[in-house]
Amino acid sequence: MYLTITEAAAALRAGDTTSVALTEAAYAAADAHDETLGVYLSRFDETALAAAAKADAELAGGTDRGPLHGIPLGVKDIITTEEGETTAQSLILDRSWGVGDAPVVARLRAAGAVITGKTTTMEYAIGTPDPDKPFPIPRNPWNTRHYPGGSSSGTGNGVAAGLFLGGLGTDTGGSIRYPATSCGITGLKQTFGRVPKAGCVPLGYSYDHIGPMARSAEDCAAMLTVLAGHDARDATSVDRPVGDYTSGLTGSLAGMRIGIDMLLDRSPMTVPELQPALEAAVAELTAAGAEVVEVRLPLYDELTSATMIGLAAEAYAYHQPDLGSRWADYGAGTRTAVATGALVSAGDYVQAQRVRRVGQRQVAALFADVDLILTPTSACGAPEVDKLTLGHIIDALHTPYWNALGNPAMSVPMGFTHDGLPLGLQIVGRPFDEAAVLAAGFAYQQSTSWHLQVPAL
Amino acid sequence: MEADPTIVVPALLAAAGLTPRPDELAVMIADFPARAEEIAKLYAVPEARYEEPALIFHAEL
Repeated sequence: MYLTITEAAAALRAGDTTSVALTEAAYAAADAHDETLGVYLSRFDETALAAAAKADAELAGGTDRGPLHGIPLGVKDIITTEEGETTAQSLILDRSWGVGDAPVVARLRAAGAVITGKTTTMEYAIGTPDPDKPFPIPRNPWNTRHYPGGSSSGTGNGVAAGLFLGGLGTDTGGSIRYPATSCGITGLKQTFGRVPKAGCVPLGYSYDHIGPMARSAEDCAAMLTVLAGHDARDATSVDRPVGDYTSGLTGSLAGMRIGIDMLLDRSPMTVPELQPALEAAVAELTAAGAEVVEVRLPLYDELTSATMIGLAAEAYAYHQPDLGSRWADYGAGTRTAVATGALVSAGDYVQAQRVRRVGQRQVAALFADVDLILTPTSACGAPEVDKLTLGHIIDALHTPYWNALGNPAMSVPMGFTHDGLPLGLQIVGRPFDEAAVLAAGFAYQQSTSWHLQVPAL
Repeated sequence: MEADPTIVVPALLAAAGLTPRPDELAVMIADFPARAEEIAKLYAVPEARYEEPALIFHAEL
């Protein structure tokens, strides 16, 4: 199996492989490892192989749909596809909801991508896995006693383990970036509104994003180029021009000024390996031409709370009817997490939305001085599955802050803990400046190989 | 005077028609003071005093 979309795309055009061969290799990896890792909720072998054969025929006939043509990709099972029902990994969701392809899936397909199946998630993208429910428990390919992160767990561990070359995740408080850092891959939560989220089961309406997950920033750029763009079916979709996000990937960061807040004192779970890993990342970015300066993120606790409290309230509004009548059918971690929304008053919710505006202004002032901001994605490696609590996850993550603000934020691999679990660097840009985020991630990955490390399975 | 979570949490959940198990209720009661503190910090942001909320509404569909 090729490691990256970019590498596989080149091999396709050189005649070194075919889309059918890539798809068969992806399914062979799934046959070997899915039972252990819990990547898929459903596989689309028949339609995927047919799509792969069509992609091969098109390429042979001179039709090239671009870098995703013939590439096997997974889709988180809260996003609809035409092949089958969407479950949200839940007994609750009405299976008749969401017929056909979500706009993001339709765009991937139009670009020639091969959709291999639907991947595991936390139920409704929130909570923790419940072993009493009839769904796989996703595990980390770097150490299967550990969690792969969530809620886009199956897309994260599937990319890391080679079950597909990329895929779709969603991110409301960090659900793309958390599995990305945990599994040692790259994941991008682009600007809120940049990618339409119609056809996606909502969690927090004003915090949700659909975004790309793959091994490299270059692969995420190729996917975002296809995914981005306005769609009126999403009321929060923004109508702004979309560029080719791969064209700015030069490897040089000359003239770029980058702020870093290591946030070492912001989590009780910060591991000692984190600071040297961040310092090494700063050295690499400096060598690429950037000037890196220390900054302090304003309203860190308040904006993190504005995400967690606001999304709980929004999720509760969506789930209230079922939560009242079918409590036991929800997973234990999901129902208690969503029920906290019943403990948030309407006034508290509005106050969280007011603090978001204040945060936008203060962080925009920070971005007047720097082009990008770096933080760790998480304070530590992924926890053990058996010791997992939502509180543990939230305490470790440095991702929810950016959901309150909407800025593009990408996690790239930046090393390992002493016990072999991946760590991630979070790169954040100004709203709608995904190009700068991707350029920095690409430059970093030109001089490091963390994103190309493959777990032994 | 701070609200007693052993009273407030069961009351709010009951008003919402939610019936968590006793162990789940105990965790929600234990977590409530920390969340109340987080919410209090939101009201303590001085710049938010005259700020508009980030709500989504358009007059036309």
